[in-house]
Amino acid sequence: MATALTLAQAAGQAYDNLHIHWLANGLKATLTTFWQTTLDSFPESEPTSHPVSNWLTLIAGLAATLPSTNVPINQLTQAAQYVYRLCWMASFLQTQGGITNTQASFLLASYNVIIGF
Amino acid sequence: MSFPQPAADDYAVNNYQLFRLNTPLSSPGDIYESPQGGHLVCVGPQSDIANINVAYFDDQVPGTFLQFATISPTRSFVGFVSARNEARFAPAHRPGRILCWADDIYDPSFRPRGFTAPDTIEFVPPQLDMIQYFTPLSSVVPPRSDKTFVFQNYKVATGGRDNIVVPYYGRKYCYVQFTNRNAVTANIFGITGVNYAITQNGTSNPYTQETAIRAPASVAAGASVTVVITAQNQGMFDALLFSVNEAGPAPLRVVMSDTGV
Repeated sequence: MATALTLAQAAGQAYDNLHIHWLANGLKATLTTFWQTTLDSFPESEPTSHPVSNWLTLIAGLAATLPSTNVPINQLTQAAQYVYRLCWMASFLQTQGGITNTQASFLLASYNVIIGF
Repeated sequence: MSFPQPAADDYAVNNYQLFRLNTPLSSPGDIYESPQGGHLVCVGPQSDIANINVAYFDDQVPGTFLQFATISPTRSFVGFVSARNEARFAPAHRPGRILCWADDIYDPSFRPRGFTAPDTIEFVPPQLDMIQYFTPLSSVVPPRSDKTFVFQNYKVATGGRDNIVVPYYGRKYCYVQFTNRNAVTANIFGITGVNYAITQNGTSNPYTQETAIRAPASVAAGASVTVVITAQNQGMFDALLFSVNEAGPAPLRVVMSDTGV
């Protein structure tokens, strides 16, 4: 996949990208690294960014419950839907001022480095 | 406007007995939070979204403390749903709260195959309606209201067609009536069932699934078309797409229900 230029593009590529990690038995590690890298940028003290941190909280919970290898395919779908929705939510909040451009850019950059190819 | 979302605190503090989250989705990623525990969650009458996920704090879930339920028009969730603000979800270490989001996918970037300039598209944003009760109830059977969408004139550029997308999640019956009231010109009218997928839009190969329910065909001036869509005969779709190639007037009435006939 090409580098996502926007969070909306990142959302659209979520399933294709995570599929590659899933095939390589890297889904758990990828999701774990992603939420650990990004969550602190959306602190609890910022209520307008809660929708993003709430998605990251769910991704963290999912990653914790995934097996390291041979992840069932329905959990790949769940992971893809979480990341898809996270990216769309962040995209919307950026346009509405709920998160800053810096936060959105960091999330997109992290996505491209950790999840994207 | 869905964000900032209404606060459940006011409803609980003022003894309203319920918190109703009734909002059009602002994006496919909408997620809502309630810091208040409750005794029952169910789908509200106005909801276009059929399946709503609810996550809440549960001490007995090792490792994450995240418990999940999916509610639908045929299944509410009766019992104490705890928020536990003083506790923390793991491993993110964020405060306990109730989270809810549409289980059904929505994609406002969707474009039907063959969509090219100067085609246009309009979306009716799906309504998410969820009710959280603060008082115990024995049960609630939460059927959704039947819904009617009415359109009459369209945004058609010269040489293009206009596409109207309405939410259809979980519906089992739909009555469609289209009448071309333009006294001179025929109108090419089509109906497509759409099931969204996670896909890169704007490409020549989006993954969204499309089912032709009525292939685009000419409706003569003054003529009318009636189509009945059922889950048994045509299937179940996230959305219905209606296409026209004339601006109208051409009344289109779409009535949908959760109960099949």
